[in-house]
Amino acid sequence: MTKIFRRLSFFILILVQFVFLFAIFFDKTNAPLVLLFLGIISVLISLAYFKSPRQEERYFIKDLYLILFAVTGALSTFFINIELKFGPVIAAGFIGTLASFVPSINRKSKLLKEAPPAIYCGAFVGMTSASVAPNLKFILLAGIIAGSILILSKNIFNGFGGKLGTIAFGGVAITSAILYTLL
Amino acid sequence: MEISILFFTGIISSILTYVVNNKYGQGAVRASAGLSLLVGLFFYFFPELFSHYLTKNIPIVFIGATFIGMVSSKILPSYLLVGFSGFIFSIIYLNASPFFKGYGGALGTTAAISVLVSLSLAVISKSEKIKRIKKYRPSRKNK
Repeated sequence: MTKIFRRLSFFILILVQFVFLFAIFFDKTNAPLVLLFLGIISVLISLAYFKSPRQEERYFIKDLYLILFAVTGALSTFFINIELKFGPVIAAGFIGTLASFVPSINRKSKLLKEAPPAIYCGAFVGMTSASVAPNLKFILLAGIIAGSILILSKNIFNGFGGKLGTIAFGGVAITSAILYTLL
Repeated sequence: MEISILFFTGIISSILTYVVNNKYGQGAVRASAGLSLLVGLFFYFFPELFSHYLTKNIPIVFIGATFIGMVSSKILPSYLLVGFSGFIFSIIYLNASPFFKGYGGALGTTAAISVLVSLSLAVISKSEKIKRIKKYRPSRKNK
């Protein structure tokens, strides 16, 4: 079971990154230098996937709290970003800085130790601009999806810069795809 | 000129976060979020200091490149590679597709791609070194 989840999340993260690269590819088909650059990058990151460290840790019911943390981070960041009009950078920075002090409330708690990454991951979801996310419901759904991917991917890419951002991007992209097909 | 400042921002920001994160042990989240909050507030209170283009783009490039600095020192052990990731990040950011404009996490995905590029470079350089050592000092293998 652990293995299936790990492979599934690995697949999701790789898919997200290649979709992102393909979007640039189709946008810049008339710029050969950029295409060459993209080609080299694609080969290099495919190499890196095989070398990335992985772990074997079981999944617990307790992990579901991470979804709650991610949604909290997403909603509060979106509120500061759009309603208070501070812009995405200050919003995410503020929420992330607050989140990094959460473990010092109770140093023995294991749950609080996992809170900062989850909240910061949610904060990236909240950085979505108003033209993509029409209301708080969108952010709520995206936060829940991002939190679920975060739980699934807890055995891969640990300590990688950009893992949380990729997960947040996956959450937002899946949500907008769902809304696009339903509406 | 303005573009080269953005490249510079990417490199500085990734290395700075890496130092605060790993050397001063503040943890990845605090290093990234704290530094971007400072930069964000600076440009919020002094919007006239630089041109409009730079005021708009520097904070975004900065927060994106701090995600690179969140990498653990066990995975990317050298400052050079982290700085190189920041450079790659700026290239991708300047060419990013407008299709995903405004999506939360697009910066993070860009950061992840540039970290993976650096990681693969580290792996390649390492394997070549191993080959060279095996070639020239076969006696070490027996010890």
